[in-house]
Amino acid sequence: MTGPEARPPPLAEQVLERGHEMRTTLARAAAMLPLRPDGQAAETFMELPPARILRYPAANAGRAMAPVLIIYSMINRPYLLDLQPRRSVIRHLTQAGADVYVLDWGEPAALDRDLDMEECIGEFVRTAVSAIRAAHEGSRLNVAGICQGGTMAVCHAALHPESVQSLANFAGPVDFHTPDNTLWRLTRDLDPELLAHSPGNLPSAALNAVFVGLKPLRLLDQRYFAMPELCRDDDALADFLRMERWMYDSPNQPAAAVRTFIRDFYQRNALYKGELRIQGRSVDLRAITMPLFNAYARDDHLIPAAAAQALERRAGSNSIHSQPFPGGHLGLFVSARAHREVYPRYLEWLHSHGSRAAAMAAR
Amino acid sequence: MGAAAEARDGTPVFVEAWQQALNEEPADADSAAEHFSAAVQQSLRRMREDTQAGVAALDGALAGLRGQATGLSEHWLTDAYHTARTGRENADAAEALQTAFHDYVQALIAYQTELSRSVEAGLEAFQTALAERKHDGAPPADLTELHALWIESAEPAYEQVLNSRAYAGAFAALHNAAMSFAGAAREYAQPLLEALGMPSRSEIDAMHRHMSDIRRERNRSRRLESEVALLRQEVEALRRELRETTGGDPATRRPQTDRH
Repeated sequence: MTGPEARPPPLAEQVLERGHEMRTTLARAAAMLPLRPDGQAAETFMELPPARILRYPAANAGRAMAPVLIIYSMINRPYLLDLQPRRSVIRHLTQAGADVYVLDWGEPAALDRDLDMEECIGEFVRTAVSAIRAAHEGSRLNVAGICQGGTMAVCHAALHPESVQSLANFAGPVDFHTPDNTLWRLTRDLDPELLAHSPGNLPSAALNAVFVGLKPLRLLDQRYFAMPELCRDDDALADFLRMERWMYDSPNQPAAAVRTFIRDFYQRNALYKGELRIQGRSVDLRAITMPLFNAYARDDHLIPAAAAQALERRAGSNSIHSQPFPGGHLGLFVSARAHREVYPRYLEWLHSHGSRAAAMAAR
Repeated sequence: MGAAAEARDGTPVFVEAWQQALNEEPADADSAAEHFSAAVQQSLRRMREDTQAGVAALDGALAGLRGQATGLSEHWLTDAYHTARTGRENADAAEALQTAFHDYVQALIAYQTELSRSVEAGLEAFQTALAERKHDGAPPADLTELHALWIESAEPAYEQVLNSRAYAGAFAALHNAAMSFAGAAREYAQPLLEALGMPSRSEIDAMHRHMSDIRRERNRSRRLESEVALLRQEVEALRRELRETTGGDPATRRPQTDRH
């Protein structure tokens, strides 16, 4: 046992010890590879190249809830929501009796470079909603959007409120000009039209570098310095590796989607100002009259809390649940705390506002 | 081309610098901080040197395209290019490419200056924090505390630079210049590819547009199929509702006619 007067070993010894632990940790990590996401099996409900709609059937036959459509962001891959059973957004929902559908934007290829935000929202999201409703006797859907997918879900709900039983926005920005929005600052002087000259889609590595560049000390230096602490916990190390893989496993971005997202959403702030038009129709947030669950992370450096909270001021719904989360952007989706506090609350809320009976009656 | 500075082999500057600092087996926190600071400065110097070397190499090649370097002007590719364009067009395209490149280099240097500023601000904040802790008689007790102090002190300094108007301007200018350079390179290459009978970017784009239009139509027909199915379900639901209300099937019921 070490007494209170014990001094730590000299720094050089600590460094050697750290290096030794790091080597051991890396060896353990290497032995675990390849490590796949430990999620539920999904079936492909519909191919909409380059996107696809995945289906996760309800875990029980009761199906108390109307189907849930999760609209994921184009920036990353949706397996974040089902990385492992202990912290799976999808598992929460299927076990509560919902058929879950996920709009996965797939792997945009060179021929998808003209795919813009208008087409993503006006065609892909709309098709997904119609097809899933048709497969469920016309039931309205519980629509949930993740990050950029939240913005798309908000647009769809404003354009086609008759198709949405409830809307959940998880860290989807609505006001892009809040003072603490670093991404707005960085994109303010970009010329989005120059992207038309780009050799193809925006490489995922370029986008990842921008995101890592927002927090290099946390995402690189601190993250790897702390890695040896996982050495004696295989579960924690496996979680770390799965997360690591997800963080850098991003699809290339269609040039037109990036161009229009920067121009119309970040630079013009057209959604918040009520100036956004999709397929000739104005996107009026006051048309969002269905129940709204709005979750945001207080320390989100990508989507500031205020950017997502703005939806609560603009939406026409008189049933709004505001769900702050004390943490960062990724923490809202994968942290133990979010899975203890945010998702159980969402399920409870869904039982009240997104039941199958209510969705069928309202169709 | 992101905001995180990288050393020659792609390792982030901070990570590489810590590796170097720790390899020196420092005796105490001050010594570790000193080694670390020196390693970061060295990485930044190397980054600038690499940029200069890359700029010089590419600038020479671009000058060659304008016929200013003798070696390249004899090359068969250059001959092919000259047959595809008049001398005037060739000179204009090469000049546009070189101008775009120079703009890109200027933007890259300005961006690297901002990046260096952010790193130096972080180092300065770290050394200040270390001195303060020492002055207060509470220097970092071990490696973990030393590292935590680095993160806690350097991050706000880095973010202050990141959120400055100057950094955002340099970031946007770099990306705009990179896109313009890509556009100019594409314009320059187009006639050469055509002269060689190879598919040009415009032709590939046209083919891609044709393919994506076909795919778009197919996706749209899926949407229409789903919407028609939904409408059918709605009509059926209305019929059911009417049957329940009136006690008969409105589709099979004869229309009532007034014969009076």
